[in-house]
This record gives sequence, C-alpha cells and structure tokens, in this order.
Amino acid sequence: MENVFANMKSHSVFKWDNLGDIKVGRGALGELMPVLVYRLMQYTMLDVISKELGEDRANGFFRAAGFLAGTEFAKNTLDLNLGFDAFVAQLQQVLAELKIGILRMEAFDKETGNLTLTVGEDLDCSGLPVTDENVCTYDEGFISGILESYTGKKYDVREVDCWASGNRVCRFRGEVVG
Amino acid sequence: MSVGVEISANFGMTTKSTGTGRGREMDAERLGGVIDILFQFLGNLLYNPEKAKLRPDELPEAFQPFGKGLLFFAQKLNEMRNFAGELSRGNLGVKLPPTDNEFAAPLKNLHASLKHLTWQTQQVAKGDYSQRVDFMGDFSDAFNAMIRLLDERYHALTEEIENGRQKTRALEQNIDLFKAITDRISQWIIVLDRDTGTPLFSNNAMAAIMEKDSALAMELFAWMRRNFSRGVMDSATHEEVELEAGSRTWYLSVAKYQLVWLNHPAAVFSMTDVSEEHRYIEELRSVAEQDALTQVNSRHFGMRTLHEWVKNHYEFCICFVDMDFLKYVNDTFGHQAGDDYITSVARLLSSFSRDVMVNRLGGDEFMLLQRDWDAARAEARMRELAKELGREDREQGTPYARSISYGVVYVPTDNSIPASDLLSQADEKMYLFKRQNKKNRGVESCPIRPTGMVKAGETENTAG
Repeated sequence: MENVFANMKSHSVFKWDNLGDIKVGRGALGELMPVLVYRLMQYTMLDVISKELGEDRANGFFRAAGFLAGTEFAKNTLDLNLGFDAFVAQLQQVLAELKIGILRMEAFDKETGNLTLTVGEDLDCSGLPVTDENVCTYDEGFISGILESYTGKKYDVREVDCWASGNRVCRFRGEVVG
Repeated sequence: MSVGVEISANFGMTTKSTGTGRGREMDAERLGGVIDILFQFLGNLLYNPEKAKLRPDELPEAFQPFGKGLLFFAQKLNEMRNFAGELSRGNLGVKLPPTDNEFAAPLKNLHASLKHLTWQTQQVAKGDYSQRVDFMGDFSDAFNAMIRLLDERYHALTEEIENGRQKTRALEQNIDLFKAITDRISQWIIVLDRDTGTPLFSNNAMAAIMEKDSALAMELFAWMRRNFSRGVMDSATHEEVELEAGSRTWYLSVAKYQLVWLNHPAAVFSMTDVSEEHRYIEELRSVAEQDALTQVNSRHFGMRTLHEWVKNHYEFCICFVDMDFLKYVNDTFGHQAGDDYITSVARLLSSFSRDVMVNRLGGDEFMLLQRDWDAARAEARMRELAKELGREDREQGTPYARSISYGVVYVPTDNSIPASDLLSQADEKMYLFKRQNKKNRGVESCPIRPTGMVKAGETENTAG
C-alpha cells in the first residue's frame, strides 16, 4: 500500500518543526557548535553549487534559502505584532542571543520603509580573508525574509559592505520593492 | 650627522651588487642618498603630509618596487588619516576608504558603531527606550544604564502626568458641579479680590441682579468694599443687611467667607434676598404688637414691655386706664359709636406724652407705661387728660359724656414685685377710682375726678 504520508516526512521540504528536538537529540553535546562547522558546510556547499551552476546561480540559491530561513525564523521566534522600534530591539536581542551577529540599525526612513543596518561579527563572514567580495548572500535573503514577514512588504536587501571586501562590518541596505 | 650616511655604511657592508671597492664606496654613497630621500619622505608622510612626495622612477631600479610600496602605504595612511579626521568632526556621511585599506578596518568598524549609536540616540530622542547597545564595552553599560534611567523617569513622569490628568478631570467635574449648583440656587454668590475689589466670580443669580438693578449693584459693591476696609472678613460671618437702592429698601441675609483663590485673598459673599420675608415678619409683628382698631400697642407688646422693664429694674409708672360707660355707648349708640369712643380715648392717651407707651389691654382697658416719671407727674397728666376729654365733649357736643378711670402705680428701681402683681395693683387703684367717681357723681353721669399718687405696693387710693 502506498504511504500517503511519505511526502510529509521529507526533509527536502522545510518545516520549522523538522529542525527537531536538539536538546533531546544532542543530550551530551548540547545545542551549540563552533562557527567553524557552520562555515564548513556553508562554503563547501557554495563551492559545489558554484562549480555545478556558476557563482551567480549559487548565490541566488543561497539568497533564496536565506529568505526561507528568515521568514520561518521571524514566524517562529519573533513577536511580529510589536511596533517597529520595539521589533528592532527584539531582533537585535535575539540575533545576539543566538550568536548570529550584532545587529545595529543605522537608518530607517519611515516614509519609504527603506533602511540601512549592519551586522557585526557576522556568522557568515566575519574573520574571512579579504577577497574584495560581498559574500553574505544568505544574510541578504535572511534579512529580507524577516522584514517581509514583519512588514508584509517585499524587500530587496543588498550587502553594500562586507568583511570579506575589507570593510570589517557587513552593511545591508534594504529597499521596499512592492 | 646624516642618518643616511650611517645607514649607507651598513647597506654598503651588506650589499652584494657591487664588485670593486670603489664601486662599493660609490654604491654606499648613492644608497645613502636614496635612504635619505626615503627617510625624508617617511618623515614628511608623518608630519608634513602635503610635502610627502616620492617618485619611484627616480629611485634606483632595485628600489622602485619599494618606492611604489611606500607610495601605496602613504596613500592608505592618508586615506585613514582623512577618514579619521572626518570622523573626529562627526561627519558620518564620509566616503569610506576603499576595501583594500586594511589599516582603516577598525575605523570602519568604529564608523559603523557611531552610525548605529546615532540611530539609537535618535530613537531615544523620540522616546523609544527599548533600544540597547551591545558589545561596546563600558560605553554599552553606560548607554544602557542611561536608557534604563530615562525609561524609569519617563514612566514615573507618565504616571505623574496621568495622575495630574485624572486630578484635572476630577477638578473639572467638580467645577462643573459647583457651577451647576451655584447657577441653580437662588442665592446671589459673588467672589471679590480683596486687594482690588474686582469680581472674580459671580453666579447666574448675582449676574442677573447686577444687570437688572444697577442702583442695587452699586450699593452692594459699596457695602462689600466697606466690609473689606473694616477688616470684618477675618472669619466667616453672617448678618442681615439693609440697603437703600433707588426707591426701595432691600433686606439681605449675607454670609461672608474668606479664602485664597488663584493666589489672591478673596472674599465670598452669599446673599439671600429676604426683603419679602422681612416685610411679612414686619406685618406679623405689627399684627402682634399693634392694636388693629386704635393703632396703639397691643396687650402682647405692652405686657412684654412691662416684664422687660421690671426685669431691668427701670424706674417707671404704670397707669391702668378704664373707659367709663363704654357698654352704655355701645348699647345706646351702636358699636361704631363705641369704636369711635375707644379710638378717641386712645388718641388722647397717645398725646399724653411723646415718651408714653400706650397699650390697649383689651375692650375698654388701656395700660400706659412711662419711664423716668414719678407718680405725681403721672397723676397730674392723667388729670389734664380727663379735663381734655370733658373739654372736647363740650366743644363737639358729643351725645354722651366720655370719661376714664385710672390707677397709677409708681415702680422704683428697687422694686421686687412681679409685673403681673404691679398691674393688678394699678387695676385695683383704677377700680377704687371708678367706684369713688360713681359715688360722687351718680351712675349715669360720672364726672372724671383725679386720683392721688399711688406707689407700688401701696394698697390705698389717696385721691380725694
């Protein structure tokens, strides 16, 4: 007999709950791991996909994955009913607690919704050798996913400064596009 | 000593590019010159950047890459210097040094932090105290402590403002209630500034009367200001005031208070127009104290006065007067003639003296009370009165003879006899006088005869 529930169990379709019960699953090692391991997976994956599909498409996939992560992260960890200022304070606190990075808002135009923010000690790139590249495409998607979940507006988030390009801090500019 | 010379010697000893001793000596000299150029360039780069010029193509070929490296270094140093200068002037919109400037990386980090702090400060300025600064060491602690403190003060102030608003709302409601009450009650209420006499508040009734009767308003203000000057406002008082305004007399019941209003000493006057009540009371008093037929004092008034004078130990005389033959006049000539008889006697008694107090006790009886007279004078006056009656009878041709009987009792200041007993004594004297008259002149026509002085306590009529 066909298992009609088979598709529901696939990890190729992201579900927040499928992240599992890490506390139970890693009772001895715990929930934390070195950033090195995260980057090992990130940059080996970038390597493989870039070689297979080219850097542009690889970055596109990373951005899309980041967007999905951002929307799920916002829905499952953030209070989306707060006012903007309180929401930013909350996001700053959660990103620091989860050691994703140090979010610092630089500017917000309440008329247009456009904003500029930086992420210090970014999980993806801080400490990377300077290669004159902006490498935080996953973060671009992640931030736009959070902003879209909160505001209901589509955001185009681009990294304008990056550690890897020698700027010591990752600066992102988000513009409302729809 | 030239630094270059010394260094050139070292270079000369270590160089491997020359062969002969002369060549080595020349190379060292030339090397010294190059090092001088480079040393001067470095000095200028540090202390006179605008003079820091270096042309690598003028250096020996072996030094040209080094010269280019120094120029690149100088460029990065100047970029960082300019960047730091702009930051020190607070220009956060400065263009960032290019990405190949690793020197500037910490400054870029500082720039990002400053931009973030600017945003945070703007948030705080607009009242957003939810923001926190992380990972900036002591500055984070100080900034976050400041925001927490501001947040606490904001909430304390907000609470205080809310309390103030609630109090204001309650006060406004109280004022509305106060105004509604004061505007509906009939009393005239006015508050005056005690320094200037300026009205600070007046209720509807007061405003209406001031508009309606300017003469009364003028008299009222004059009276209220006199109250200030007399200093009678030191405590709450109540009094009845009589004011003449225009052709009318006003009687006002006035309650006065003092208070401080709007930092000014103020006086509150609450007035009730009791003119109608006053007139009504006067009417009642008149009815009670005045005999309707004769307009002399009533028995009630006379007896009250007698009791007061006795109580106060006044010296005075009581004359008990009884009209003779009133029943005969009533029966023979009718009650109107009887009333005329009574009123004529009352008129004559009233003319007895300006100071005499004439009271009709009822029917044909009168009581006269006279201060500061002795009995002899009273007796003399009564005799004159009796003669006057006879004289009028003769002149007017009255169809009946009018006469009175009387008894006089003198009351000294040391009197201890009750008022009612004194009156009984006077009555008794009158009765003796009347009986003596009847005996002397017959029943139908009894001439008035004077009687003798009678002092209080004496029982015998001394009249002859």
